Amino acid sequence: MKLLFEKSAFYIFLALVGMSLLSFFWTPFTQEWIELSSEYALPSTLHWFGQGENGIDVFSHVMIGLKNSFVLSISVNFLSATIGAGIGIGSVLLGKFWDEVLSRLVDVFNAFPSLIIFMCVMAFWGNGFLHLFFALSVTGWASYARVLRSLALSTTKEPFVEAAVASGASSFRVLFAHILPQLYPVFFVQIFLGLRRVIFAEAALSFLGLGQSPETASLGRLIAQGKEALLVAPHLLFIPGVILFLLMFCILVLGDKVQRLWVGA
Amino acid sequence: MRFHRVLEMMSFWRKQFFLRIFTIIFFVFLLSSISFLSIRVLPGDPVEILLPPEASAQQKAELREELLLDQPLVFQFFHYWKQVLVGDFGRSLYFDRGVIPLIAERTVFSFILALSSVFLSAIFSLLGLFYVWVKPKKEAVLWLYSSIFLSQPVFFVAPVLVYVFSLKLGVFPVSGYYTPFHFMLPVVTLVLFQVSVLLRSLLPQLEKLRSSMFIVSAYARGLSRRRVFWRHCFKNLMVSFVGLLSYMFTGLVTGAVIVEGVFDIPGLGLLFFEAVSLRDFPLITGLVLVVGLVYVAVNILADSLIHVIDPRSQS
Repeated sequence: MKLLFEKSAFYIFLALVGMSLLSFFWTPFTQEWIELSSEYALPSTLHWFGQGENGIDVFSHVMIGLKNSFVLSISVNFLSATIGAGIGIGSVLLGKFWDEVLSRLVDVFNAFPSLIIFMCVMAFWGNGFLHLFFALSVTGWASYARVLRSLALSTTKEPFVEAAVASGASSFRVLFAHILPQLYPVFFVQIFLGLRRVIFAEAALSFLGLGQSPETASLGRLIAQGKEALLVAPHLLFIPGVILFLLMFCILVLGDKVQRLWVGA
Repeated sequence: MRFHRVLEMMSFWRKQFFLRIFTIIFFVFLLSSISFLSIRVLPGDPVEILLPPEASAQQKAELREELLLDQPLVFQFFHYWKQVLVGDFGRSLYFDRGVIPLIAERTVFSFILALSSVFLSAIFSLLGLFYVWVKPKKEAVLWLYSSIFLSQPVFFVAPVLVYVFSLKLGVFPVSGYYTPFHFMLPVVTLVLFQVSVLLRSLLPQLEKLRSSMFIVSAYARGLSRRRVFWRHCFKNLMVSFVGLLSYMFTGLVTGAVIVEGVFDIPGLGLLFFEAVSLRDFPLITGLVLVVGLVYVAVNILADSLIHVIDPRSQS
């Protein structure tokens, strides 16, 4: 039962990734294509997910929106994971003072409602990919740093690290051969959480009108448009909403699986 | 609470209080300074937004002078902090009212929303944990629930609830804030999400407790499952429980923008959104300070509460 569940999550995830990859080369209709005469049309053989505001093809927009979500979340996580890992492991290695300072900073960044920071940055700087990238990276590193710091701290007290130090290994070798391998699984699980966090935040900001620029397709904006047309065409809310839900759910289930396999329950 | 516990708490406070307050005040200062400076440095002139397009150059210049925008940035900065220290947060540009009464008025709605949803989600998640403790086989069900509702975007479920309960069934009003009924759907939206967050981090802890020695010994003494849960597990879970709840509360007071927007409740989140979109900078800086203060207050409260629950948590 559980295996079936995880398998189906994996295949749905593959399908969504496939859709987003396909949108690099081909979409049924272009992003700019509109047909004012058939606004809010129901799904048909030509327009699989129906037609939205101004008669855009929702299926194409979902494809491109997925692609944009993936591109943004992967690039943000690349940066914030690097910074977070650096700060998390660095604070353990640099000694007590820096550890205290950096972990306070990490605490504050973790507990402060990040939506406020996102909203400020996006409203002042305007919509767009680069601004989103900056806003999400500024806050994204903190969760990586917190998890990796606590794990690195407990790893440095392990007997095998002590033995390595006692047998004369250089600190460089201790770090790369003994401490870092212990951190990889947890780091990998964190990446799943980070992907979810960024996709969620981007969709929420686009929903509020502070995310991707208006000419770029985004799942959040599709949901916002669907909410406006709730009385006329409820499918415009449900289809992008369910797609976003499926994406989030699959990443969560796969992350759990990785956690169980590599880190243990 | 016995007397020595009170004394203990006092000493804990003395130790923790200043360090914590200092870092947080520093952070709030930094954040509001950054917001203050960035609003003025970044593009987007409030004068253009406030005045109609046909306003003359003289009117613009007068407003600029009134807002001190013609002064050098350093002067504006020190002027702002001087005013804040004597308790004057200025007037909102768009609403044309004092910032403090405006925020106080909106805080009421945010607090109703945040307090009721945090309270309800605490109760529901505790009941869920209790249920899992008594019936261990049902854990997968609650885990699935938490996975599903952790993955649903709030801005999707809120309109869905509106569609089902307001538009189709007509049970609850669509939006507004006039009666307790109006708060029903927003609170349900938030509770569904928060219970999933709480369950997700507490269920593994509960499973870990199952095999710990003091639980085994409690069973060996012949205590019932119910009693073991409330007497032994509950207190152990309380520390992370209080931490999570305080985290949620701070998030909700200002972070419930989406729910407030969908259900049209004029809380702090929506006010912040409006202030940011209108470039109403006395209001933005005032709100950032208020968020910081709520954050400080809730953090200190949660820390001392955790210390009372678990005196081992000294550090």
